[in-house]
Amino acid sequence: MYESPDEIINGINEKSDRAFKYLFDTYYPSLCRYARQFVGEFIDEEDVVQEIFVKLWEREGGFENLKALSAYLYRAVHNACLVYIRDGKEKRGEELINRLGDVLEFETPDNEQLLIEEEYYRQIFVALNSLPEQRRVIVEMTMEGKKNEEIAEALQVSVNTVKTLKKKAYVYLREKLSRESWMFLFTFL
Amino acid sequence: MKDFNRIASLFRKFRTHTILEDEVHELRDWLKGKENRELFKRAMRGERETHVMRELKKYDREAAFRRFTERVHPKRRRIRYYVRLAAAVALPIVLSVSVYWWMETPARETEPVAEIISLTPGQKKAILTFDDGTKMALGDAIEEKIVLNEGAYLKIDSSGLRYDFKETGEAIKMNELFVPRRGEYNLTLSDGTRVFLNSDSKLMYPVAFGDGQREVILEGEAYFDVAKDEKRPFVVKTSDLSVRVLGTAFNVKNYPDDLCVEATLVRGSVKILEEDQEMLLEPGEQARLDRSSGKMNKIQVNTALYTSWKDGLFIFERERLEDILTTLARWYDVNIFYQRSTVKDELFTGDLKKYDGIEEHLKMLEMTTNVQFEIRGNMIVVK
Repeated sequence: MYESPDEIINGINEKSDRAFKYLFDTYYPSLCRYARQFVGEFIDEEDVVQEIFVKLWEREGGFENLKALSAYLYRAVHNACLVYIRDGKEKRGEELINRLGDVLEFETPDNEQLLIEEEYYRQIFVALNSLPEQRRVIVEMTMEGKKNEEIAEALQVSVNTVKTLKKKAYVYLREKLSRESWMFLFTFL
Repeated sequence: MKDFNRIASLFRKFRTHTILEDEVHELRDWLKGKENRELFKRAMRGERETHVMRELKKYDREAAFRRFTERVHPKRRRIRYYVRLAAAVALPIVLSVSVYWWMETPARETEPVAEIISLTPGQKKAILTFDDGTKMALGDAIEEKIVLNEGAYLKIDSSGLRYDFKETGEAIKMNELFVPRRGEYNLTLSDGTRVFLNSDSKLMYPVAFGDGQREVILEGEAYFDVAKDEKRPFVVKTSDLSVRVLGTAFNVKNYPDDLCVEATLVRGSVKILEEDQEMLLEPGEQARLDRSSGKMNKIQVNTALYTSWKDGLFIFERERLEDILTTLARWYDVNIFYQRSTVKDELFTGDLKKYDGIEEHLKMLEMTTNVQFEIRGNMIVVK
């Protein structure tokens, strides 16, 4: 399983491949989605995020903890998007600036709200993905509104197995997620 | 503060309109807190959540990380496999590549299931996920023809899944086939390539291939019988390497919990290229790469050991007990518990029939090695 937050942060500070792999696994999709809200239609958000990771690799100096690193990543993506919009030859930059309005500055209530939500989606995504495949499939199918019987049939296991695995998945997710994320997810299950 | 689960259960009842009157009062009391109200509002916006999960899922983290490592370690040794087709060879070339890797993925947790399911062998089953995220369960009995587009069908019958597609020059729509533990499944891709997927494995592929190279992504183990097309190489991407071929049959294995890289050639000729070294394999030879030292060795092997699984047999030749039991665990979906770890290195030689009950195999192993087994539920205790 994943290392402790301390190990991860040390790994990032020491430029370990393993720690960077962890960052890609847990932050990459979320950062892309965040970038997409700014520039998605005009450039490839994956390019933006890729650049940020390369910069992080080349960056000197370390981070105190994961929270600081996370804040750095989102801020870096935010800035990179703005630089692109402002300096780009893209005429539509103007249009984007108008549309984005309040989130143009990193430290605004609107953007803060956006980031809180993003963090919450990110956590659920990461937690779901760290489940063993079969349990993840069961939880996903449950989220789609499938009944235990349907899932059992699909996976060709007994209904009791579905129930047992589901219960285990829930215990695991409950432990892994913050209170808010878990409550949210639970309403779908 | 109220118990989370209680509140969450009230949320759920509220959403599904099954909430009782006194529960409504309870919920209302709880909602008096401003923070709680916010949370409630957010939680009720259900569809957005599922939508966001889908959006996040679209990003390929593995590919992004590979791109990243290529940039930050430009000189790093990368392993590339090429198959050099001898012009005179008319038969399909059979190449088996087993890839074991250890670094990047978190170890997969095994599934402890409390109840007794049954220790019968696996069977044909899989879950097909369409590009829009809808899932469909596939088993032995299902027979169906699904129209995907005009002139494009997906046929499902007892022999597996078959994409009947007029290729239009562009690769379109990724589908995903996941075979759980205790499962196996066959499919035929739009170019006619046959794929045998082993237990606990996943294949992602386009519904129709384009004019460029034919690419699929594999997690786990599969045997490919690739339709020959020299203009469009067939590429199997796995978490740490790609296998590139023109028209051939080979086996790829990259379960996250296994340990080293192996390429085995059955028939034909293959060239394995690493950053600054290359190796030509003759049939019956295997290239084995030690990932920690980066050193590659060539050894002679019995190639049947690496492909027999698709023909209903497990063939073992002086194989370690632990490796044998790992294979059986995937097929019978059981967990293995070792009372003494020293027995893991006991060696066994023999053929086991895949569709027999696991008890048969355990008896056989008991007779020829120094270990005893006890079945407890779906746990096998090795003494």
